[in-house]
Amino acid sequence: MRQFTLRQIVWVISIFGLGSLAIILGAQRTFAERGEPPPTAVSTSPRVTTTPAKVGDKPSVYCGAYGFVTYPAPPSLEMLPWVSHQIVTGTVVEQSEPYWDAPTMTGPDVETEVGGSLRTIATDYTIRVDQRLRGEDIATVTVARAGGTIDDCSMAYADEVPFQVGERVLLFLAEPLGDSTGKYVLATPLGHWAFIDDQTVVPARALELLRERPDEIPKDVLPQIMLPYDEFAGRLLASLRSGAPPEGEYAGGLEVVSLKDAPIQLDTAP
Amino acid sequence: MVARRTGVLTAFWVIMFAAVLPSLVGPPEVAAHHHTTLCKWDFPWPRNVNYYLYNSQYNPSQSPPQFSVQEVTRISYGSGTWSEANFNLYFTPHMTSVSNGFNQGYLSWVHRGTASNLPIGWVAVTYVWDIHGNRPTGSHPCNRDTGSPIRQFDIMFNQDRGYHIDCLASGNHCKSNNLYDFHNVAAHEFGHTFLMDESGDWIIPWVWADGHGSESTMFKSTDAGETKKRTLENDDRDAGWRMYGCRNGKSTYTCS
Repeated sequence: MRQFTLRQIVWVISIFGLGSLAIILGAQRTFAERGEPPPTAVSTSPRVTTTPAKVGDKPSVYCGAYGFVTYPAPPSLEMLPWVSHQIVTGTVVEQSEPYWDAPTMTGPDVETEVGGSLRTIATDYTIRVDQRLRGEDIATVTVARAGGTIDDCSMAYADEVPFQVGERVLLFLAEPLGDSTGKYVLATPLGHWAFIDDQTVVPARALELLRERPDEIPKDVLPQIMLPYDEFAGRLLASLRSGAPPEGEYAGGLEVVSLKDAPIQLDTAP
Repeated sequence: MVARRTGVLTAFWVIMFAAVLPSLVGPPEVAAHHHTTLCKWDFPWPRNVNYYLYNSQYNPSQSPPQFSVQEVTRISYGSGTWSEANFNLYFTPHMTSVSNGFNQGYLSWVHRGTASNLPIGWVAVTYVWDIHGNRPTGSHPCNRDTGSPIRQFDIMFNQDRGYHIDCLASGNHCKSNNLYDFHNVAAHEFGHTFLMDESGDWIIPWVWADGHGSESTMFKSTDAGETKKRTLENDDRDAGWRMYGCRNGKSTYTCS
């Protein structure tokens, strides 16, 4: 039987000791890199903050909230123009000051009980139209969008991409709001497309991905997201000219707009 | 002697490499296709999140009219979808008046309402706050470990959409009449109450509906009559476990 020398034993102990130390240090670094403390730091002294937020001191209970909206979606490119009252291209020329929208609900007790106004923030944008594909004969259109900042009250929504002044856009809009302001809203979350050059449009919700994480987009998908505008508009108009939405296709929970209510209007705005 | 020393040194580095490698890779994580943040409800876990539902019986003069008892029940099934998922967060619904609920500390609520500047046709929206009442992203990172856990939520069902208490039991009625299933929609919205983002990064639904997520509770869009969001898919569970870990009473982030 082999006899181990003291030196050999010391070597083995040293190696395993150093290895263990490396594991601990490595784990620490891993958690730090993740922005997380190691679990022991939490389990030994969890920080439980019980002080309530002072929502009552804010003008709206929604200040600081981050919203996630669930939408129905048009199931095909051919259905997209059928759920829109107005389809235009144009340039965003003006952005209003954000303003308080109507309360999300009303009642004798509600606002006092929940500690503040139940109003959300919205912002209006003026778009100078350069081409109309469907809807009214208009040269400018005002589109209201949820979100914005008033003083220190900010509201934002996941996936709602705000317009940028100067941005050229293709818009699919619903009928004007029934509040006599004549403002429009998007017909669907897919109602905001951006021109990335003179001839190419992309859904605005893809812009961040395209700019910051393009590698996450499958190669076969990319050409279907960055669409030549002429070809895209041609397909939209072809669908409308067929006289009816794709036969048997479910509109994705959205209202189909007849050509009588919103006719094809292919022209260039004055 | 030199050869022996070289052998010992080689063994040393092999062992060191083998020992350090796993820690550099980090603790094992479950795969999740959701975009999750580290924003969480407060520790200690398991954590019970109380919320209250506006009920038309308690609040008859509110506009729009709020939920019936039957509707409240179906919505609470939506939170139950997550409560049953065996990770460190579960929800307890309370059907009560506003004042009673608020005084008892139920800061999170579910109601019918409107947000007129959202794209038309929205079905429901979930608002989330951290403990300081800040937007829990960007310049106000929400992280329970730095004292800014999620504190409250508000789920709002669009008052202009039609809903049904049980589309699964009603055949094609919901789809034909553009009605949304309460349980189905609520299950999705309650996923947002711990800042779980949608799965399936569809950019254009007919082009790129990420196959990972289309069946999951947290898939981005919903259809009238749909009920598949009532039950969690592995994708949903993975995302929850990634954030909270399994319900073992500890603070682990992963399931073991």
